[in-house]
Amino acid sequence: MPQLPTLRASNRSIAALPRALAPRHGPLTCRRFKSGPYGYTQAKALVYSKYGEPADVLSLHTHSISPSLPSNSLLLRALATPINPADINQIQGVYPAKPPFTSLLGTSEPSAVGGNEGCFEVASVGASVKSVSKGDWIIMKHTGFGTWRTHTLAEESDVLKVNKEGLTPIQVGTVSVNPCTAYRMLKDFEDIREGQWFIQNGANSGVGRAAIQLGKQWGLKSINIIRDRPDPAATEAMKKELLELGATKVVTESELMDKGFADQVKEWTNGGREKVKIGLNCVGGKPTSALVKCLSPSGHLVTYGGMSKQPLQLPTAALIFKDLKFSGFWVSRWSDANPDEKRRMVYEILEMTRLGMFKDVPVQQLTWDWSTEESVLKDAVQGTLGGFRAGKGVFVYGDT
Amino acid sequence: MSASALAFDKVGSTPTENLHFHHFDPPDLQHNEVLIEMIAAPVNPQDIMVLLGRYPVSPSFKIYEESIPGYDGVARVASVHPSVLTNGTLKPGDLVIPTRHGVGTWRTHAVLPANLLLKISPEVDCRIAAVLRMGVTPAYLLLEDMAVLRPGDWIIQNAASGVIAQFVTQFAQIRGLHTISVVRDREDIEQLRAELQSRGADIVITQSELEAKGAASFEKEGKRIMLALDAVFGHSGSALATQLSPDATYINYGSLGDPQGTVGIQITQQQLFWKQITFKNFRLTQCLGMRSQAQINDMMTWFGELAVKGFLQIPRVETVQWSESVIDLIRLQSEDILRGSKFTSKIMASWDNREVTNRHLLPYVDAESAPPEVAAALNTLPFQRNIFKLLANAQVNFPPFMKLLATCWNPDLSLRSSEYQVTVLRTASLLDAPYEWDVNEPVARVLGFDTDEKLHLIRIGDLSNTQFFTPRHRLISQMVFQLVHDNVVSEATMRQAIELLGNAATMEVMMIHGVYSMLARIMNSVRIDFDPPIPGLEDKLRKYNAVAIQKEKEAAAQD
Repeated sequence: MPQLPTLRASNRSIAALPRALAPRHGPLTCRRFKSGPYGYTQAKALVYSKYGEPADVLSLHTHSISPSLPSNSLLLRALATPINPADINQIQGVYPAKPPFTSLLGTSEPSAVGGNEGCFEVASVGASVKSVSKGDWIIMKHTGFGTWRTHTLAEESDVLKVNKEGLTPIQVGTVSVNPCTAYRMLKDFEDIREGQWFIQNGANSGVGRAAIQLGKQWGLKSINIIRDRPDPAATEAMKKELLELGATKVVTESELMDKGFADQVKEWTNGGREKVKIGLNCVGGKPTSALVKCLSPSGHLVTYGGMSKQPLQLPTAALIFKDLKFSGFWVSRWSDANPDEKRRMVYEILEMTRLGMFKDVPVQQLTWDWSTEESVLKDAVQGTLGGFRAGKGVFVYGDT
Repeated sequence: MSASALAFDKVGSTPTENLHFHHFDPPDLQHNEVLIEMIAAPVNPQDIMVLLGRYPVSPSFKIYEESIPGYDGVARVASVHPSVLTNGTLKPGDLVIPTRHGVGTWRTHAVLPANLLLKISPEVDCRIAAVLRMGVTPAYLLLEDMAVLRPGDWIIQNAASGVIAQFVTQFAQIRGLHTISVVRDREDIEQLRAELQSRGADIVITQSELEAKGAASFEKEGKRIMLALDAVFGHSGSALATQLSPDATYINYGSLGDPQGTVGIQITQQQLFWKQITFKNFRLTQCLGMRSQAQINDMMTWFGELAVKGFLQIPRVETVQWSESVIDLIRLQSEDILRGSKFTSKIMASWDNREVTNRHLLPYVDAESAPPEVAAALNTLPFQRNIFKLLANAQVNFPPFMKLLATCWNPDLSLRSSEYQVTVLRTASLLDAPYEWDVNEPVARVLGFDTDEKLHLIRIGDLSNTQFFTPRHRLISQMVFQLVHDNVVSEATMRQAIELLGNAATMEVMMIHGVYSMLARIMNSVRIDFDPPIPGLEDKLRKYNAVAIQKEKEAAAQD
């Protein structure tokens, strides 16, 4: 049996190797992946190559970024990138804006990176970049960039530099979609003035909370509709929270659908003398029809999402006799058409945040480290869809 | 002076239940006032809404404590207070239209402050002038105020045979826009399609054809459908919305198909959010409210100029003579409107003015002083008619022509008498010859078309009612339409005619149409005056047409 010792020796050496390498090579292996040989940055991104449920179609893709940057480019490291409902809809293929699938990241199938906003730190800059420098914080000028990634290259023209003084990455990373949506919807559709009202459903959403706070700053009164929680105490707590945020009235969907609600609104609005000029809608179906009934003549319903996917039935009375208007809004399209106004608005909202006039949206932080597994990240995205959540999901990047 | 007016004492659950016909004496003219004689006033869907209390503006004038409806129309100034002459705005003979809503045009005469009247060019055809305010103006403002439209964009509209829609099509052409006109399903669709297309509609499609095409079907063909104009609401309105392109606008300007508001319209998430389509309502009063009175007047004046230059065609309307019986016609019309089944017709309170005038351009030849042959021909019929007196100017042609004419009602024709009448009355309607209509309407009455409703339907060319009209009537109506419209009967229709009518009757239809279209053109060109009433006309006609009446009765019994 001459082979046996050989076999044993071989076994022994295999078993011994990890032990031998562990102290020296273990962390080294990670470091090598992260920064790569010859200064390459190792990056990870949540990508999808076809539309579907996030859990089915997302995958974590690792790629490397060359240290020699094109002269007008920046190397960015992600600090915080939120998971918005629209991001999920985009992956499902049911959102109007669809990012192109490309092979730029070297995925086997052309792919797109999930996510539409976030706060990034500038890690290094190309030779001709003037407006930003290493260590600055930036956000993306446009949606559709793909922000669920640890690192990325971007061109100088893609980014908007943010004064990070007094702000957290989460505050900066969540400013461009929800607060901006609320801002535009209250500003651009009707000439709504101090002392007048708006009514919204989904009042606990990121947009809803932003609308409450912006409305409060601008002297607007608001009727805010939330879904009934299974636990009445939880419903009351939610009402209290939104009232503290600046909501004038908070009611549940079942209160809204109640027959006497129109009279209630009349009482609140001084017998209808104070106009309910704008309705913000992200729900659809019957609850939205009930909301429409609360609008004053010539009011305007603005729809920015439709969680329930139900069509809206417009009664004759709404359109003809009350002269209501119905429009839709998606912020990415607006932003692309109005870059200067977007910059001004982002700075205004961030300034309000610095001054404590704009409270953080409740978040569920998910730490994304180098070693975070694909399944954990995918679960985080998929989890955004269901039920009542304690807050918006946000990837917060740790040791990447 | 015998003046009359329609008025209602209170809003009713039906438009005509409280509508009354009154005779009155116009009051004396006060400072700044003008006496007008109405020439024509339309019955618009908006007027029906006023009668039902569902229009935002109420009538401003009353008679015997009752409100006078009718917000549109054209009138001639009969006399003015001396104070009006000094400021030079209006003088007797001017053609005028109302400057405000609520003036109350359903009357023969009105005394109004001069500032409620706008003088328009005397050359504007009265049928356009009568709808300038409620037909032409909304059509213009729908394209001007409600959306940003660019040449090459498409508009989709329902109730497309309605007067507003007809003018939308014409303004769209002026602005380089294209139109898809949706009409309800009907038997005479090819006729209507041809007519609307001849008036500038690019595509004419029925409701069911549209629904069969599926959502966004025109967009897939590369058309930008940027505006939907919905006068119907309900399913029809929802169907328009499904065809809109991104960033388009849906406008509702009426709810004729859904008066109770039970159906509503359905808006999908895709339309609102993905395509960012805006849904809103059009109110004429609101759009006018954004303009000064001077701007409104200038706009109306410009519409008049467009009409005179031929940029605006005379709308497809039906005209009836003002009398007590218009209440019944308004009732029929409003039932159609409220059922959402018809938008085509409008009743004018007069087909121009039936007043007996003296404005003929050739002399009326008198039998007594005419050569014997001409005199004999003039006495072909047992009563006098201006048309024959005019024809008699052509002394050589006239006697044999009268013989030819008499063959048209010869009982030995293959064509039945009622069919001959359909040929004649459709010819008169399509060639706009009220005189010819008036002369033949009494004949049609004794030959079986014995109710206002039947005559109303012939006037507007809707022969779809199978109780009143036979398939042969419908086919003849189609032949006449094609002859007037295309100068030729299509081969398919000809083959159908030969099959259904036979060789002889097919030729008879075309010959009779030829004779009566010649007469219509002559009487309109020579500016014929209406005949004074002929006493005992009906009895004379019954006697004269006894054989034909008998034959028609027998044939009708066989049907």
